[in-house]
Amino acid sequence: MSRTALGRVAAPPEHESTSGVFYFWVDRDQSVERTQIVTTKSTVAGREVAFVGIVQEVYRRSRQKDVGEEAARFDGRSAETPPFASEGVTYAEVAILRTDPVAHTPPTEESEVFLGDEVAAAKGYGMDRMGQRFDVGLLRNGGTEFAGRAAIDLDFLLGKNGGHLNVNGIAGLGTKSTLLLSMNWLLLREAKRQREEKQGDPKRLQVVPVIFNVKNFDLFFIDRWNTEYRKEELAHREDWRRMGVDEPRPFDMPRYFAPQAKGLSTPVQTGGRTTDVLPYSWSLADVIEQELFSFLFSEEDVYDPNFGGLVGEMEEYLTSETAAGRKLRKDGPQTFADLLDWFRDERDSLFMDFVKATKGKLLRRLKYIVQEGDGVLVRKEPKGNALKIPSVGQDSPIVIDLYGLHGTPSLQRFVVAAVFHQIQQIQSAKQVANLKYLITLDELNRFAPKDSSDPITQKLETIASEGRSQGIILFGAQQQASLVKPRVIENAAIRAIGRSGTLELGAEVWKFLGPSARSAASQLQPEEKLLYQPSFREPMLAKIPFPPFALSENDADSPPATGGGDQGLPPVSSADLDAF
Amino acid sequence: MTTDRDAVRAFFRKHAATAVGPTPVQPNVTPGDDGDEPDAIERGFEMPEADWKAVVVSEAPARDGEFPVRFIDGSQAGQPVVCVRTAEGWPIPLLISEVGAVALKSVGRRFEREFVAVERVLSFVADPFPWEEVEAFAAALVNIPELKLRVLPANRPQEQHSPFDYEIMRTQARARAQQEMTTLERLALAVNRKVPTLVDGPLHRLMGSPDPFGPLLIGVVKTQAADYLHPKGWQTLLDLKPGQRTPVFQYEGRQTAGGSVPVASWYLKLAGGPQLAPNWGYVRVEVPWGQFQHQFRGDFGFVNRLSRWLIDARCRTDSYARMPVSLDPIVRAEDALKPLFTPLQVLVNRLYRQAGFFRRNEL
Repeated sequence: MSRTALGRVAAPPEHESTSGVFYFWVDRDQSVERTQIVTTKSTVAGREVAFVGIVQEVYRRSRQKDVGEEAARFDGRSAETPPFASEGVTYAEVAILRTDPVAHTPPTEESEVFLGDEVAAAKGYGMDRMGQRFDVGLLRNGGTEFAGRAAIDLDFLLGKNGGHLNVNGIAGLGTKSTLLLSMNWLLLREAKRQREEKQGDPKRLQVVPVIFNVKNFDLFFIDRWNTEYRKEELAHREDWRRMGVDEPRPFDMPRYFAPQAKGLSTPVQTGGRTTDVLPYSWSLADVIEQELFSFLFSEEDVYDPNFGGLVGEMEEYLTSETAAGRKLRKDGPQTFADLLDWFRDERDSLFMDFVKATKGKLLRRLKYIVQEGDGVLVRKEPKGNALKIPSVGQDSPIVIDLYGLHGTPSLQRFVVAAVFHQIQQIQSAKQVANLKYLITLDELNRFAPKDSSDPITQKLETIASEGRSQGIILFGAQQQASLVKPRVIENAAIRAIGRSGTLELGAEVWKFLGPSARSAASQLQPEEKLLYQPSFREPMLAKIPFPPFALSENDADSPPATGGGDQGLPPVSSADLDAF
Repeated sequence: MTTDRDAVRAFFRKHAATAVGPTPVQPNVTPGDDGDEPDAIERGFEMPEADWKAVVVSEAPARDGEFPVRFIDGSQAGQPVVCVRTAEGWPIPLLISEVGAVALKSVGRRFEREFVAVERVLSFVADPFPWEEVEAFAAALVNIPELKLRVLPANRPQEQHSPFDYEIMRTQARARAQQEMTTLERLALAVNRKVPTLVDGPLHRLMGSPDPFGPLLIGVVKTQAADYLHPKGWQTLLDLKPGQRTPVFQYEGRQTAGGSVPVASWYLKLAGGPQLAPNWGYVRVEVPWGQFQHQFRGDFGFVNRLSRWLIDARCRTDSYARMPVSLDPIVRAEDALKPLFTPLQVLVNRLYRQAGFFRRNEL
């Protein structure tokens, strides 16, 4: 059956075709929508070139030259009906995604334009050339139809040609969390598949998803079914099936960690999740062993040459290098409480290169930190429940709460730094090939603000620029990328844009998007994302299937999903994690 | 082996061809004979000649069969492109043209293109040249894919004209191209004679004797090339306000191959206003006399209803130069036809390249 053309290429003055863009007028019996995939062929210098493009915008033009003429057709009276219809013309602007063979040339006028199908869409976005194609959603082909699956290249996500994922979107639409969590879910599934299909292959993908919870205790329910998903399960399940996932389900046995409550050995209250949450905390010995001492202090303090120098000297004093690694020296203070007492009493005879005022400042800061951090920083115990990140691939994510520390941003930063630092140490040892740490962190504007240079921001910048080579992949998100350290944003090879504010989209950081894509980004539906990776000439509009897992306590179905966590399986201790 | 290009060049070389352009018509040339000079006029049909006055067109809508649903328009775009010399030294301009015709049919409030034809032609007075040369030249031109020019031999001018007059020769060539356009318009008309049809221009060009009981035919003439009116008639015409018409008059159209075409005709003022000259804004409407008399029984109510339809269908597009005397369907027909033409300069350059006129004045 012959296909019906949507229209034909037009290239009049002011609408000339280029190697990047062309226009076509639309057949009066056809309809064209923004984001549709279209194809055309032209003979250029005797060679047939096939073009695949995406409709950037659809325009309608009447036959009148100005508004006066439009009104004149009705004699200026809207109730009039002219004897003949205006019969304007609809035309569309198309961004070229790909030419085959490669040709930096425009299509010629009057070439027939057809609606693209799954094959054309896959070609347009170069899916046949992807090193490791990874399906993440359904590729939009207009307002309601799809042209197959939306896919990205894992080579751009997991470090080979680039790394990291960054998501931008306004709050309240689930824009960011859905994609970040879905990516974790899909990568866990992919790692499991490779484990089953490539048993014994040392290069198979292994992942350790580390998810930071930054709002309420929303992500402490990802092992439960999402009630909204359940309401329309058939439709959502069909979306997942179309992208190749037959059994979408909540996360299987995630590990939850929350800050240790002050003076107790249990975690803080974590909303509706009352069991199977492990506390985390650091004693002085943990801090020294994990080289976290400088992260206890603020940016301004650490970058003060005198104060920073004194912190360094104190850390050096407290550290004992042993065959088993860094340890807290045994002949010094063993707890934070001891440290305060010791320094208060001995400071005049210690660290003689520094003046009294600097030492006094350090004492005051230490006192404040220990008081503020009581709980996460255990005052009187020689050993805490320090987070220990596993050094082999996992089947489920590790969810670490930061919300319980929302009153003390300095402690939140400390926890993030502790995790990153540990992962860097593991990856430096390179014990497991192709082991990827997937670090999910929302609210990057809080952890790596644009104008900051504190240790945590620096850590995130380092991860963004160098992490991919160490197998540390940052899944970051924020409402406004313009307020985040540019290095963190720019180093993300995969960029996803959910519905974003128009003011934000006018910022410099979004200049890589054309006007049409920026306009589209401000009107996206909650389930839609614009996906961009360096090999795409234009962003890909994808529908991310609705998540089967709960993204907040309100969404969480009360009957537990199968598996561990709240399902009554024996709780695990943090020490168990190393066994994976 | 002689190629098509060789044949074109040989013809031009032998007859001392030089490139020429679209120079203005010289004023000393006798006007063309394509005016609408009538044979006989009866002006007292609707009211006595001496009592002529404007008739206000009523608001009554036209009934089925009283208004057109099909619209015919033709177009010709051309210019002299080469001038050759006969053995006698007569200058013979060759006119390159594209001619076309289109038929639009209204479907509801929309238009559909029902017929279209476009041709590229090269017209010139060919009699003075050896016929075999003209034939070879014509065959070559039509076979060159990028040109596909059909040669149209034009008649030699009448005896009273000097064959050394370039303008006369040019007029002959142009008339021949227009004749070809008329042929295409006739074809457009003939494709569907089952519905009321309006043609752009006088009816006699396109038909012989129409069936008095067949579908209505209407001609709308924008360019007034003949004087049909008596002084009172002119006064009435120049005093017309938009929405008014002159009384109906009858005249015997010129003889055509199909016979004479008597028509009922009237002037209708479509547009006007303080900025419009009094001789602007009206059209002359023609309806075959036989249809007016037999099918519509000489009903002036029909004339008013058709006039009302034409007023409603007037072009209201200010940016269109001939808006005050144009009908929207005919403007649409032009819009449907003109884009099919190749820009004339492209054709000229292609011919020059084939002819070896690299800088327009060399062989």
